[in-house]
Amino acid sequence: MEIKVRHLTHIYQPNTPFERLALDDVDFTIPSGAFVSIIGHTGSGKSTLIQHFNGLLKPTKGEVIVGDITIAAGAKNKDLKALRQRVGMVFQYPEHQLFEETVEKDICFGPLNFGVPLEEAKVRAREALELVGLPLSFLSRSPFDLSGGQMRRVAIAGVLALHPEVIILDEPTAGLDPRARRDILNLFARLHREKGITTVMVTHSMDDAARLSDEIIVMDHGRMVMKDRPEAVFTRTDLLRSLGLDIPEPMRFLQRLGARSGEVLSEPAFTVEQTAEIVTRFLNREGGPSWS
Amino acid sequence: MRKEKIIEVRGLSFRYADDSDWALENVNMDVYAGEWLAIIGHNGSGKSTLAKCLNGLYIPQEGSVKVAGRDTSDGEALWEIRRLVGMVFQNPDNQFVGTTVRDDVAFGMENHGIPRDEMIVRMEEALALVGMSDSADREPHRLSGGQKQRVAIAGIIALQPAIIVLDEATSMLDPKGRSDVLAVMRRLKQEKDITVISITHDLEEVAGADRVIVMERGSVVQAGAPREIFKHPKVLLDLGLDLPFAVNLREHLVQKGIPLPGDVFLQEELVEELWKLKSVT
Ligand SMILES: Nc1ncnc2c1ncn2[C@@H]1O[C@H](COP(=O)(O)OP(=O)(O)OP(=O)(O)O)[C@@H](O)[C@H]1O
Ligand SMILES: Nc1ncnc2c1ncn2[C@@H]1O[C@H](COP(=O)(O)OP(=O)(O)OP(=O)(O)O)[C@@H](O)[C@H]1O
Ligand SMILES: [Mg+2]
Ligand SMILES: [Mg+2]
Repeated sequence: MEIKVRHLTHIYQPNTPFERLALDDVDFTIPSGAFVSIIGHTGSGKSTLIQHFNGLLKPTKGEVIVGDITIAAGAKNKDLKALRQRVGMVFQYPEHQLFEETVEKDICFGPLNFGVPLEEAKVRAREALELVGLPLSFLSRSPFDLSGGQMRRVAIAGVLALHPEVIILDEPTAGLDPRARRDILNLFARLHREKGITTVMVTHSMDDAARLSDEIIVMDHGRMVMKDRPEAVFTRTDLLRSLGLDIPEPMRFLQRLGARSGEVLSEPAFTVEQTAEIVTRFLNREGGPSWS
Repeated sequence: MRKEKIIEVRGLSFRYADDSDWALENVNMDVYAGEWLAIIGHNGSGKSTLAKCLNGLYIPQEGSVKVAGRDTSDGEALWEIRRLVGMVFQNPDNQFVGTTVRDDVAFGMENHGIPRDEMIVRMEEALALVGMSDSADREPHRLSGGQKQRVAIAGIIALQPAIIVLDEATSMLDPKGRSDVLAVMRRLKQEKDITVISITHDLEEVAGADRVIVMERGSVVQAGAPREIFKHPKVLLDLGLDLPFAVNLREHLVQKGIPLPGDVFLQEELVEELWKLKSVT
């Protein structure tokens, strides 16, 4: 589903002494089936932005159009339930979306709420739990008596069980161990590729944003300052750093190597394999001994 | 730089209920005064549970935890232990007590009996260090995810306990925020000889620690300098953990036939080795 953001402004606690402009005239379109990452410094408006995509927040000005559903400032939104059925959202802190007494009830809640029969919901809960790498014995546990990473996985399972058309992820890998992080990112990449799920991921990992996204949106103080392919975004090293961001680790390494050798090694490289290629070419250039 | 042991954990076992599995099983470990100790391990391996045993929030069913010689099972010593061990929790929401950022940072200091003038100085310093000075009057629960983490960290910086436990305290910070906070912590460690225990999945941070403890299913399975731990990549990969970028890249380059020494482990070391190779003509 396409997501259109039109002149979106969001002000928290308007007309009070605490009034805060969190989004300032943000305007872009995410094409249906795209994988888009949003990066930006702490407090730049990322979570505020994406909470408009399933109607959790309403625009102060402007509008958000998800598929054929419009959420506009000042208008009554009767389609919210339909919207939330199609747009699954994993919150920044999983504690904010877990509330049932068992993991099974928690994962089943969404599907049941949208009319999926109990038996089918339970099947989905089992499938989802497996997808996030937790054993079925977790079904009967309380979601609050889990470790941080386990809670995160249950929250993700709850969204997967919805079978949404759009998946919104707010720092989905924070707190996950390296294997879970890799597995779950691969899972989202696969769902995106095979099922054409439109995916929006807020992340502080430049590496994940670089490797997974068709496009990256860069936020700064409530404004969108860039929207481009990763290869283009991550050549703007100085700009990114001035925004509290950075380039992916492979590029940081190459930059160091470049600084040491006086050569400029600034081409985009997002994986360790690409980096190894570039380093090999670097070693083979003029004069040096030759390694295959 | 082996100094005195400031925390001694002996035969520690802990479970959340009589009929549940052990979350920690026969854990033995020491923490040395003034060191930076990183704790890594898969989700559910017991890191946060261990952290909460170190400041006496949980009392082990078996074994003992001693902080500066005081046993956490000794009720009389608990107050002093909590004064010595300050903690930033995995989820900052679990930590906030004040209705404003200012009250929240002040709360811990009040509890520690820090004089008012001193409190004000430390408050301003701490909020400035995490870049939250202009949010002092805001409500903690209305902050962004990363701003909450910054305030929680400011609270601990203001307190300056002898031992700081960070439970994934920078997981929601932007790249600059994260490196700023780590730099502040390193400076506190240098200047005030504070001991830092940091639970993290961030391998760059681990690479910079003095020592690392690796946990698996409630047990400590490895302990040592990062350089030693990362000499055995396979062990870590089998535990579901990852390698620092330089170690990973070195492995790939060695496979391409590039001769690199096996102990290269920091990025700057790999850069030097590659530069040496390049310079050989
Ligand atoms: N409040 C609780 N009640 C019951 N069991 C718990 C509770 N908190 C954690 N556990 C269990 O204890 C074990 C250790 O959890 P702990 O939170 O210490 O792990 P962790 O290493 O910090 O993991 P993570 O990386 O996910 O934060 C896990 O199996 C977890 O499910
Ligand atoms: N409920 C709220 N009430 C008032 N202000 C808020 C609220 N939530 C967020 N803000 C403010 O709005 C701005 C944008 O916050 P938002 O949570 O969207 O940032 P973010 O980019 O997600 O940051 P982070 O990376 O730290 O999660 C921040 O200045 C924040 O303090
Ligand atoms: Mg956020
Ligand atoms: Mg934990």
